[in-house]
Amino acid sequence: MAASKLDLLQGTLDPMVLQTLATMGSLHGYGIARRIEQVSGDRILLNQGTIYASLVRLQQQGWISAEWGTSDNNRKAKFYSITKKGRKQLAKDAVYWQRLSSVMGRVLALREAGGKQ
Amino acid sequence: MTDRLRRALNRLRAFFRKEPLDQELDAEMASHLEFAIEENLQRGLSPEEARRQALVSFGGVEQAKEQHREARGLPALDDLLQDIRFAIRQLRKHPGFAGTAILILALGIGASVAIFGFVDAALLEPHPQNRRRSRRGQPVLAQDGSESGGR
Repeated sequence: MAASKLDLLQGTLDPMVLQTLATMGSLHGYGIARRIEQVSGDRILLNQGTIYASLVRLQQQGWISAEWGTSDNNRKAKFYSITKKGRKQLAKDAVYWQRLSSVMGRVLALREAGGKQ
Repeated sequence: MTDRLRRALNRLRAFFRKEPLDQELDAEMASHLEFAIEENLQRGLSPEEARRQALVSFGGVEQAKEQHREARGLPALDDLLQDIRFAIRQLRKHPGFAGTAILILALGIGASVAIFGFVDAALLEPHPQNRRRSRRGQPVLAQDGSESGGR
Protein backbone atom coordinates (compact mmCIF):
# COMPACT_ATOMS: atom_id res chain seq x y z
CA MET A 1 0.00 0.00 0.00
CA ALA A 2 2.72 2.41 1.02
CA ALA A 3 4.69 1.57 -2.11
CA SER A 4 2.06 3.12 -4.37
CA LYS A 5 2.11 6.42 -2.51
CA LEU A 6 4.03 9.38 -3.89
CA ASP A 7 7.25 10.34 -2.23
CA LEU A 8 7.41 14.02 -1.39
CA LEU A 9 9.85 15.92 -3.56
CA GLN A 10 12.44 18.04 -1.86
CA GLY A 11 11.06 21.51 -1.32
CA THR A 12 7.39 20.65 -1.74
CA LEU A 13 6.52 20.27 1.92
CA ASP A 14 7.29 23.89 2.85
CA PRO A 15 4.79 25.45 0.42
CA MET A 16 2.22 22.82 1.39
CA VAL A 17 2.59 23.82 5.03
CA LEU A 18 2.35 27.51 4.15
CA GLN A 19 -0.75 26.98 2.06
CA THR A 20 -2.38 24.92 4.80
CA LEU A 21 -1.73 27.62 7.37
CA ALA A 22 -2.89 30.32 4.98
CA THR A 23 -6.26 28.65 4.52
CA MET A 24 -6.80 27.09 7.94
CA GLY A 25 -5.47 29.79 10.23
CA SER A 26 -3.60 28.68 13.31
CA LEU A 27 -2.87 24.95 13.59
CA HIS A 28 -0.63 22.56 15.52
CA GLY A 29 1.82 20.19 13.86
CA TYR A 30 -0.53 17.22 13.93
CA GLY A 31 -3.35 19.29 12.45
CA ILE A 32 -1.14 20.47 9.59
CA ALA A 33 0.04 16.94 8.83
CA ARG A 34 -3.49 15.50 8.88
CA ARG A 35 -4.78 18.30 6.72
CA ILE A 36 -2.10 17.75 4.08
CA GLU A 37 -2.82 14.01 4.09
CA GLN A 38 -6.55 14.63 3.69
CA VAL A 39 -6.16 17.15 0.89
CA SER A 40 -3.81 14.82 -0.97
CA GLY A 41 -6.42 12.09 -0.67
CA ASP A 42 -3.82 10.03 1.18
CA ARG A 43 -1.89 9.72 -2.03
CA ILE A 44 1.39 11.09 -0.71
CA LEU A 45 3.67 9.33 1.69
CA LEU A 46 4.07 11.83 4.47
CA ASN A 47 6.03 10.83 7.51
CA GLN A 48 4.28 13.18 9.88
CA GLY A 49 7.51 13.69 11.82
CA THR A 50 9.16 15.43 8.87
CA ILE A 51 6.75 18.30 9.28
CA TYR A 52 8.73 19.54 12.26
CA ALA A 53 11.88 20.15 10.23
CA SER A 54 9.78 22.11 7.77
CA LEU A 55 8.15 24.09 10.57
CA VAL A 56 11.45 25.13 12.11
CA ARG A 57 12.77 26.15 8.70
CA LEU A 58 9.74 28.29 7.98
CA GLN A 59 9.85 29.78 11.43
CA GLN A 60 13.52 30.73 11.13
CA GLN A 61 12.76 32.48 7.87
CA GLY A 62 10.06 34.46 9.57
CA TRP A 63 7.32 33.01 7.36
CA ILE A 64 5.36 31.49 10.22
CA SER A 65 5.11 32.22 13.92
CA ALA A 66 4.53 29.78 16.77
CA GLU A 67 2.87 29.94 20.13
CA TRP A 68 1.97 27.39 22.78
CA GLY A 69 -1.74 27.18 23.40
CA THR A 70 -4.56 24.84 24.35
CA SER A 71 -6.48 22.78 21.84
CA ASP A 72 -10.25 22.20 21.71
CA ASN A 73 -9.81 19.02 23.71
CA ASN A 74 -7.76 20.81 26.34
CA ARG A 75 -4.37 19.57 25.28
CA LYS A 76 -1.30 21.78 25.24
CA ALA A 77 0.15 22.17 21.78
CA LYS A 78 2.29 24.54 19.79
CA PHE A 79 0.15 26.46 17.30
CA TYR A 80 1.58 27.85 14.11
CA SER A 81 0.23 30.66 11.97
CA ILE A 82 1.41 32.28 8.77
CA THR A 83 2.93 35.77 8.82
CA LYS A 84 2.66 38.56 6.27
CA LYS A 85 6.07 37.64 4.88
CA GLY A 86 4.93 34.05 4.71
CA ARG A 87 1.95 34.99 2.55
CA LYS A 88 4.25 36.83 0.15
CA GLN A 89 6.54 33.82 -0.03
CA LEU A 90 3.58 31.52 -0.57
CA ALA A 91 2.44 33.60 -3.54
CA LYS A 92 5.90 33.24 -5.08
CA ASP A 93 6.07 29.52 -4.36
CA ALA A 94 2.64 28.93 -5.81
CA VAL A 95 3.57 30.61 -9.09
CA TYR A 96 6.81 28.62 -9.26
CA TRP A 97 5.23 25.23 -8.64
CA GLN A 98 2.34 25.86 -10.99
CA ARG A 99 4.72 26.82 -13.76
CA LEU A 100 6.93 23.83 -13.07
CA SER A 101 4.07 21.36 -13.01
CA SER A 102 2.55 22.75 -16.21
CA VAL A 103 5.90 22.50 -17.99
CA MET A 104 6.35 18.94 -16.75
CA GLY A 105 2.85 18.10 -17.91
CA ARG A 106 3.51 19.51 -21.37
CA VAL A 107 6.90 17.82 -21.78
CA LEU A 108 5.57 14.47 -20.67
CA ALA A 109 2.63 14.78 -23.02
CA LEU A 110 4.94 15.00 -26.06
CA ARG A 111 4.29 12.29 -28.64
CA GLU A 112 6.72 10.79 -31.10
CA ALA A 113 7.11 12.77 -34.31
CA GLY A 114 4.42 11.75 -36.80
CA GLY A 115 2.20 10.44 -34.05
CA LYS A 116 -0.86 12.16 -32.74
CA GLN A 117 0.04 15.52 -31.25
CA MET B 1 20.20 38.82 1.61
CA THR B 2 18.72 39.94 4.89
CA ASP B 3 16.71 36.72 4.83
CA ARG B 4 19.88 34.71 4.63
CA LEU B 5 21.43 36.69 7.45
CA ARG B 6 18.37 36.20 9.60
CA ARG B 7 18.47 32.48 8.88
CA ALA B 8 22.15 32.26 9.82
CA LEU B 9 21.61 34.19 13.04
CA ASN B 10 18.67 31.99 13.97
CA ARG B 11 20.73 28.91 13.33
CA LEU B 12 23.55 30.27 15.44
CA ARG B 13 21.17 31.10 18.27
CA ALA B 14 19.67 27.62 18.06
CA PHE B 15 23.15 26.12 18.22
CA PHE B 16 23.63 27.62 21.70
CA ARG B 17 20.14 26.77 22.94
CA LYS B 18 20.07 23.07 22.25
CA GLU B 19 18.63 21.89 25.53
CA PRO B 20 15.57 24.12 25.82
CA LEU B 21 14.83 23.64 22.13
CA ASP B 22 15.14 19.87 22.39
CA GLN B 23 12.82 19.83 25.39
CA GLU B 24 10.30 21.92 23.54
CA LEU B 25 10.50 19.62 20.54
CA ASP B 26 10.00 16.57 22.78
CA ALA B 27 6.90 18.16 24.28
CA GLU B 28 5.61 19.07 20.84
CA MET B 29 6.10 15.59 19.44
CA ALA B 30 4.54 14.01 22.52
CA SER B 31 1.46 16.16 22.05
CA HIS B 32 1.40 15.26 18.35
CA LEU B 33 1.30 11.55 19.23
CA GLU B 34 -1.42 12.13 21.81
CA PHE B 35 -3.58 13.87 19.21
CA ALA B 36 -3.01 11.00 16.81
CA ILE B 37 -3.75 8.31 19.41
CA GLU B 38 -6.91 10.09 20.45
CA GLU B 39 -8.14 10.30 16.88
CA ASN B 40 -7.38 6.62 16.34
CA LEU B 41 -9.26 5.71 19.53
CA GLN B 42 -12.25 7.65 18.28
CA ARG B 43 -12.11 5.59 15.11
CA GLY B 44 -12.65 2.57 17.34
CA LEU B 45 -9.16 1.11 17.49
CA SER B 46 -7.84 -0.68 20.58
CA PRO B 47 -5.43 1.39 22.68
CA GLU B 48 -2.39 -0.58 21.52
CA GLU B 49 -3.38 -0.43 17.87
CA ALA B 50 -4.14 3.28 18.17
CA ARG B 51 -0.69 3.89 19.55
CA ARG B 52 0.99 1.66 17.02
CA GLN B 53 -0.65 3.36 14.07
CA ALA B 54 0.12 6.80 15.45
CA LEU B 55 3.79 5.86 15.61
CA VAL B 56 3.71 4.38 12.11
CA SER B 57 2.24 7.56 10.60
CA PHE B 58 4.72 9.65 12.51
CA GLY B 59 7.52 7.61 10.98
CA GLY B 60 10.54 7.39 13.27
CA VAL B 61 10.63 9.78 16.20
CA GLU B 62 14.42 9.88 16.46
CA GLN B 63 14.79 10.41 12.74
CA ALA B 64 12.35 13.31 12.84
CA LYS B 65 14.23 14.88 15.75
CA GLU B 66 17.47 14.58 13.84
CA GLN B 67 15.94 16.24 10.79
CA HIS B 68 14.61 18.99 12.98
CA ARG B 69 18.02 19.59 14.54
CA GLU B 70 19.66 19.69 11.14
CA ALA B 71 17.18 22.26 9.88
CA ARG B 72 17.48 24.29 13.05
CA GLY B 73 21.14 24.58 14.04
CA LEU B 74 24.63 24.20 12.63
CA PRO B 75 25.00 20.51 11.82
CA ALA B 76 28.49 20.91 10.35
CA LEU B 77 29.77 22.45 13.57
CA ASP B 78 27.98 19.79 15.61
CA ASP B 79 29.70 17.08 13.59
CA LEU B 80 33.08 18.74 13.95
CA LEU B 81 32.75 19.00 17.74
CA GLN B 82 31.61 15.41 17.90
CA ASP B 83 34.63 14.28 15.87
CA ILE B 84 37.00 16.21 18.12
CA ARG B 85 35.45 14.73 21.24
CA PHE B 86 35.71 11.27 19.70
CA ALA B 87 39.36 11.82 18.80
CA ILE B 88 40.25 12.96 22.32
CA ARG B 89 38.42 10.01 23.82
CA GLN B 90 40.27 7.57 21.56
CA LEU B 91 43.64 9.12 22.36
CA ARG B 92 42.93 8.84 26.08
CA LYS B 93 41.95 5.24 25.70
CA HIS B 94 45.29 4.34 24.06
CA PRO B 95 47.92 6.53 25.73
CA GLY B 96 50.81 4.47 24.32
CA PHE B 97 49.63 5.00 20.76
CA ALA B 98 48.84 8.66 21.45
CA GLY B 99 52.31 9.24 22.94
CA THR B 100 54.06 7.55 20.03
CA ALA B 101 52.04 9.50 17.48
CA ILE B 102 52.70 12.80 19.22
CA LEU B 103 56.43 12.02 19.59
CA ILE B 104 56.82 11.08 15.94
CA LEU B 105 54.94 14.17 14.80
CA ALA B 106 57.06 16.35 17.11
CA LEU B 107 60.32 14.83 15.85
CA GLY B 108 59.24 15.06 12.24
CA ILE B 109 58.14 18.66 12.47
CA GLY B 110 61.21 19.61 14.55
CA ALA B 111 63.63 18.00 12.12
CA SER B 112 61.94 19.62 9.14
CA VAL B 113 62.07 23.04 10.76
CA ALA B 114 65.75 22.64 11.69
CA ILE B 115 66.74 21.54 8.21
CA PHE B 116 64.73 24.26 6.54
CA GLY B 117 66.21 26.84 8.92
CA PHE B 118 69.69 25.81 7.87
CA VAL B 119 68.97 25.65 4.14
CA ASP B 120 67.14 28.94 4.27
CA ALA B 121 70.04 30.75 5.96
CA ALA B 122 72.80 29.07 3.95
CA LEU B 123 71.36 28.90 0.48
CA LEU B 124 68.16 30.83 0.01
CA GLU B 125 68.59 34.15 1.79
CA PRO B 126 71.08 36.58 0.16
CA HIS B 127 74.33 37.18 1.98
CA PRO B 128 73.94 39.92 4.65
CA GLN B 129 76.35 42.20 2.78
CA ASN B 130 74.46 41.93 -0.48
CA ARG B 131 71.26 42.53 1.35
CA ARG B 132 72.50 45.87 2.66
CA ARG B 133 73.77 46.91 -0.69
CA SER B 134 70.54 46.21 -2.37
CA ARG B 135 68.65 48.17 0.23
CA ARG B 136 70.70 51.31 0.22
CA GLY B 137 72.05 51.13 -3.31
CA GLN B 138 75.67 51.06 -2.07
CA PRO B 139 77.71 48.77 0.10
CA VAL B 140 78.16 50.21 3.57
CA LEU B 141 81.89 50.32 4.15
CA ALA B 142 83.98 51.85 6.87
CA GLN B 143 86.80 54.18 5.90
CA ASP B 144 89.42 51.47 6.01
CA GLY B 145 87.40 49.50 3.52
CA SER B 146 86.09 46.87 5.89
CA GLU B 147 82.44 46.21 6.35
CA SER B 148 80.87 48.28 9.12
CA GLY B 149 78.70 47.05 11.92
CA GLY B 150 80.20 43.55 12.18
CA ARG B 151 78.17 40.55 10.98
